[in-house]
Amino acid sequence: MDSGKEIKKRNESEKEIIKRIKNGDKEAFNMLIRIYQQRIFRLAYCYFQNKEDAMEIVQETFLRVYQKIKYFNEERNFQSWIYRIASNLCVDYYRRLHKQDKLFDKLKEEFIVSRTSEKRTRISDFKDILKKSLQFLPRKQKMIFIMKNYEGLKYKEISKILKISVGTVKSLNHRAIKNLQNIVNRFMRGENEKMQEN
Amino acid sequence: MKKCKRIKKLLIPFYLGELPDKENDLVKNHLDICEICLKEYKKLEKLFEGIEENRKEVEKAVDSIDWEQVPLAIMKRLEKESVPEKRKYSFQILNLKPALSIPVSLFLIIGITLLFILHPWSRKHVSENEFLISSSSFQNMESSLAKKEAIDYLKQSQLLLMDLMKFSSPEEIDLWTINFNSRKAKNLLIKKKYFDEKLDNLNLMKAKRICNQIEFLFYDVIQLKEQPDFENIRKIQRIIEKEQLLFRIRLIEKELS
Repeated sequence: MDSGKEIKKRNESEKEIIKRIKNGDKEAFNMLIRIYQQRIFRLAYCYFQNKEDAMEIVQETFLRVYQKIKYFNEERNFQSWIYRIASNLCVDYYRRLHKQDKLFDKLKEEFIVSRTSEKRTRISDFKDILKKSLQFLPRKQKMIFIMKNYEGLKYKEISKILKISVGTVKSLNHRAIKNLQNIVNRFMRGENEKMQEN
Repeated sequence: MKKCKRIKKLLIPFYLGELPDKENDLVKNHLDICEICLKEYKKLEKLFEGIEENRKEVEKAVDSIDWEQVPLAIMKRLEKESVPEKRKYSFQILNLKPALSIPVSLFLIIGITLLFILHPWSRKHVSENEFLISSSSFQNMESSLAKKEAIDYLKQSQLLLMDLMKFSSPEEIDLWTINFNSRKAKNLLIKKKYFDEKLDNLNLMKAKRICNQIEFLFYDVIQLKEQPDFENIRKIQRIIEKEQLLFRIRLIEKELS
């Protein structure tokens, strides 16, 4: 975790970079991409579970940042702002491409097919079950869960990004964990039933 | 069992280290003695182990990307998309999305138009501008003014002629009255000059005809000042009677008003 001094130093240098971008400095924008590209990729990769979509979100996020940075107040937290753009893009992108429906269909199919021996080996890996179960979480819970447990953001930071209270973030994270446990259990139960049948 | 139910609710914040000391100890002590709750806690631990494994996978995915190329790709896209972006901005009003800018601009146009139509200063401006009076309303105004002046002329002429009709013998002749009426006739002739032309234009021919007859008589009345003979007065009286001027004046007055 970053110490307070490091965060302050980072914010100061970010302010400078943002000022330079506002003045049309493309090199500064290049620097900003280098600072945030991996963080945005992690968020999007956890959300979509594939590199291509995650990379599309990374590019779209920075294009959006470049277009809107003239309206950004340098006194505000840039990290919250860029994460907000990225998380909104994730949700929109998901919706626009109707991927959720397709993914749900695919996952439902896997629930059913997991009863057959050839599929069983594929999803028996707990990591795999967990990844797929994550896709069943409601959008907001999923985003908060990823930000907190994969990105390591603090509740306060998430509350700033999503513009909701810290208490709500905390309770949604707990609910997401609970739901994830239930979904994983359903997968596992399917597995056990199959084992018993055999 | 009641305690287990309560503890199960606290397991997630306990694992995340979010509980206050008192509750933290409560859960910790309960897990030492309750196998069912411990089993639940183990499941939670397994979930987070899985999450940790997945995080490693995410890091592998991050490492597999050539991050030097990403800024270049973004800059390339930025250059490509900068032209349509400018075009898109040209449709924006007050920094609104294009879908919103159309109704907003329509609303503004209608609002400004209504403001110009309904605002008091705009109406004042119209009334002050004489060139904005239509020719028909101007004619109506002229007509009513001419009628008013003609009626006034006829009324005063009537009184003057009635004064002259009072003299029935040379003894009754009053010089002051003759002089007064002579001056009055002069003034009335001047007045007639102003509305005479208007009567021509406004097709008030009956009024014009009687006004002309009175005019001829007035020349004689003016002459009375020089020659206040009863014979001259009588001559005027005869014309008034013959032409039924007083009666006709009354009729025209009624018609005009």
